Amino acid sequence: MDDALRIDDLVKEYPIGSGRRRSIVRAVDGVSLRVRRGETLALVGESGSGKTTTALCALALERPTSGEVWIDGREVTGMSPKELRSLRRQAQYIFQDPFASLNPRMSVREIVREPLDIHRVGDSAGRDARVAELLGLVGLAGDAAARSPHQFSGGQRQRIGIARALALSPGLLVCDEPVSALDVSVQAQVINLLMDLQDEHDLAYLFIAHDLAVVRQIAHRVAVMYLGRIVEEGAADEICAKPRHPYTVALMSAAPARPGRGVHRERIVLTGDPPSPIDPPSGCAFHTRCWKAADTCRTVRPPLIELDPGHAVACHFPVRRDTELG
Amino acid sequence: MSSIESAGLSAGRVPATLAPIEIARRFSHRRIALVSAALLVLIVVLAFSSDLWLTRDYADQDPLVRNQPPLGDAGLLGTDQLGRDLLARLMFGIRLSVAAAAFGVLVQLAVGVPLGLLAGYRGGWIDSVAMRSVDVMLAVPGLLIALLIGMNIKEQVASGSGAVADVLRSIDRLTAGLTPVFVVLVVFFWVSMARIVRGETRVVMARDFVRAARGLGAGPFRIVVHHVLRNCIAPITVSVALLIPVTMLTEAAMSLVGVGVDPPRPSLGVMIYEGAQQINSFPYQTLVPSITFAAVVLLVGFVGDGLRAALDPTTEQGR
Amino acid sequence: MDQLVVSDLVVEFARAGHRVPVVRGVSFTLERGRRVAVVGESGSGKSVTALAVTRLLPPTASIRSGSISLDGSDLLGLPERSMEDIRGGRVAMVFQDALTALDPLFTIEQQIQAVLDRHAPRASRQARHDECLELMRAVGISDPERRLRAYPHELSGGMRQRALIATALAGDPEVLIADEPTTALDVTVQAQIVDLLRRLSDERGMAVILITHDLGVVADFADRVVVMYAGRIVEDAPADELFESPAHPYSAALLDSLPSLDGPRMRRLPSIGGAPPDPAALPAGCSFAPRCARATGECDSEPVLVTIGARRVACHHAGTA
Repeated sequence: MDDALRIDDLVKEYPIGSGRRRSIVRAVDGVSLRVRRGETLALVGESGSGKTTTALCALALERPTSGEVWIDGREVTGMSPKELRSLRRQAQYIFQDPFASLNPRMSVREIVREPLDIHRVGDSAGRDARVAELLGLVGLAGDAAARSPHQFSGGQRQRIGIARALALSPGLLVCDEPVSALDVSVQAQVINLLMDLQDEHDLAYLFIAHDLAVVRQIAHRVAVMYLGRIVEEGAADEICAKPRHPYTVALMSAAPARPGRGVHRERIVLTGDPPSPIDPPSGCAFHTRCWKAADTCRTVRPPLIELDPGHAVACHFPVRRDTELG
Repeated sequence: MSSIESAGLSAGRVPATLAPIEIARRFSHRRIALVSAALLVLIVVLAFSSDLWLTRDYADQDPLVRNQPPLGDAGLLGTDQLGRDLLARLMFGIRLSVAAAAFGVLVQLAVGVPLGLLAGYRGGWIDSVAMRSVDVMLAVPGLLIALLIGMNIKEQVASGSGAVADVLRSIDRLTAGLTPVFVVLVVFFWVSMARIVRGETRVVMARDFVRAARGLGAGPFRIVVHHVLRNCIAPITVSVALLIPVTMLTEAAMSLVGVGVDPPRPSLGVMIYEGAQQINSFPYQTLVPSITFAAVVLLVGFVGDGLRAALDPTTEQGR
Repeated sequence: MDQLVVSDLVVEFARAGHRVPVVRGVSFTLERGRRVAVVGESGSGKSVTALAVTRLLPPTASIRSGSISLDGSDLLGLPERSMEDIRGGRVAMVFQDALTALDPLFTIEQQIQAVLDRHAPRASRQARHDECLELMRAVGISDPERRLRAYPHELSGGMRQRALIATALAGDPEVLIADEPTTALDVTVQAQIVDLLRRLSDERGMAVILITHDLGVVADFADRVVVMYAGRIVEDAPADELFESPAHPYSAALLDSLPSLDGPRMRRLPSIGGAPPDPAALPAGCSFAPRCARATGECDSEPVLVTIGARRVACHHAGTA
């Protein structure tokens, strides 16, 4: 069976500056990943890790510099505009900011109807009926359709965005930090909604996040990105229980989680900020902040190697959980 | 200020936009703007229906009632030195002002808005060419160019030969001699609108909901019309309202120096100028058109200000 | 000993000709050198409370009633001039967005010097430069000589937040109010800043009020946690007690909705229905009742904040479990 999404060796470069000071930033540097049907792959990383760029390239909202993107067995890179339009029915995007991603001048009905209008699905009455159905699906009252986005709270607006993304019954949703702009008490609602929808509609998610604790709830598999590259990838439970890359260990340690429950976690506080992709460190990009860094790390970039079945790490000195950390 | 945001008093709670009916309601809350709008409508209706309710024509001369003061026997506003009814002339002058204003608005909407949208949407060399042209237009001395254009056209109409002059002559007959004014409006009045719409387009294009629309498969037409243009309505409305007085001033100024409307037709500019010749003996002859002009400009200003507030969701209740 | 005492504070915002209460009778005390976290969601009034303490409220806001006193002297009655001496001096603030809180036109040294000038004007040039270096080292900035000459935009996000904390420390404050100081930062950098604030508090005997929406940040930091909802304090408890057994249903729900990294993975996260209320349209009675699983008829009346042991709770069902 075809994967819902497959990305092979994706590279995305942006030019910055102009004239003599012009240079190239490599935001994504050779990322490969696959999302199976009905599966959630979480892409985790901090600012500058290239996770959002990867997601935008996956849906052809950005043009990759090189590499291939396949959705449902069809190659996306190099598609004509017409083919791209039909691709939009298979794959949709959910944005981080529920305030910026809905047109303030449209009613909720117009917003959720827009994909149906664009792809001329059914007649007008049928589209309105579908809008009502979609709003019900994401837990909004029927009278929501006639109102404007600004009359809703952040969580409700994110539901509107989800309804719009579901309108064409896609098989793949790319969710770009869909809860990080929401109030804490509302985040759980939206995560639960996304999980329910996945069960009912056999959706595949590429789920972008910076918070491993959220990811553990929703994802089947996790890929951790640092400075444009995947540094660790594996099953969510496996990665959360036995992280092997020092960066993943640090991310886990920093994740805000409920204290006073379960085992006490070793706290690892990294020094410094994530380096800038404009001037990436040599060798392993993480060596500037890594407590295990040796000379090799400064010169040789570690390849992503499968250490255990389904668990790959790009590190010269992967952490051995049993001996090194409680 | 982030702390106020967390007080729940901005962002989500302040409406990001307003429905048309809401705009109307907010506008109607502003009494000055509402009264101004009503007065403007009244003035325009009176001016365009003046043939029906006035007994005298703007060009009728009557040597027996020259220089009669207002509120006298010779009409509500009196007469000028040729014995022409000032009220009839004023009404005709207002018609010309309205025509100039309407044409100016047309130029802004038909040329400025599409050009701004195109430049902002496509970017690249189209944007560069359009915006450099805007810069050039803003750099040239407008009034001087307007006069040169006006004089040139008047000359063509009067004594030119050839196809161009013939076309200009026929246009001039249709527009009561306002051809130079209209040409100047076409040359200059797309500029600021194009710049405003272009800037607004760039801002809207960068927002997530445009990216969302692209992700839904929306084509350029849908993005420009449904997303960009709808979010540009407020600045466009405000810009139109702000430029109406300028178009009226342009017409008045050009008519005043003789490159506008042809005598004996009066424009507000012509009336102010003619009246000013006798300002010492009969001041009302220049005061009446001056006050009318100032009043109309002021009323348009009030309406524009009201619209601006009504369209701006960050002002409470449009106050 | 209580250093900062806030009692019955009511702050209103003028909105559409109405007065909207955003802080509705908040009382708490801060002991010398202790760390308190004020936790709440948008609209809870946590930031407004903090701004009221330094009297930096925006012009649309006004303090209707209540009192705020520092070491027994009333801050609300002080003339603006004396308040300026207190601000940045005895009470300093750190904001969420260091990029906008620092002036882009001045170097870090100039900005720290400005605070020193204001609150310790008599020192020599050399002494003040040394003081700047000292502060930069205190907030963990390496190569302080070079960083002092940098402009804010030349520093990374975490570095900027440290520099902002350094300017706040320049007046040698007794109380530091940090308003969401980690929200704009990357996860791995957040932990650094929280650690830094805790260390500074210990070393200098400085009391800290940390304002945040994130209970996870609070755990390793605060002695006491004040939970706010819809302009009121719903629970005020020692940190370990709160995390061990929250007494107010809202505190409990907030804790439950924190996803956990260990323990069993749940198919559904426990969640609170609905959204925080609009301060202009608060429900009658207990503000949390419409979203509360334990709400009963009793909750139609507003619960008062009662002291139970070491904590205060505003819930009709507290203690009845």
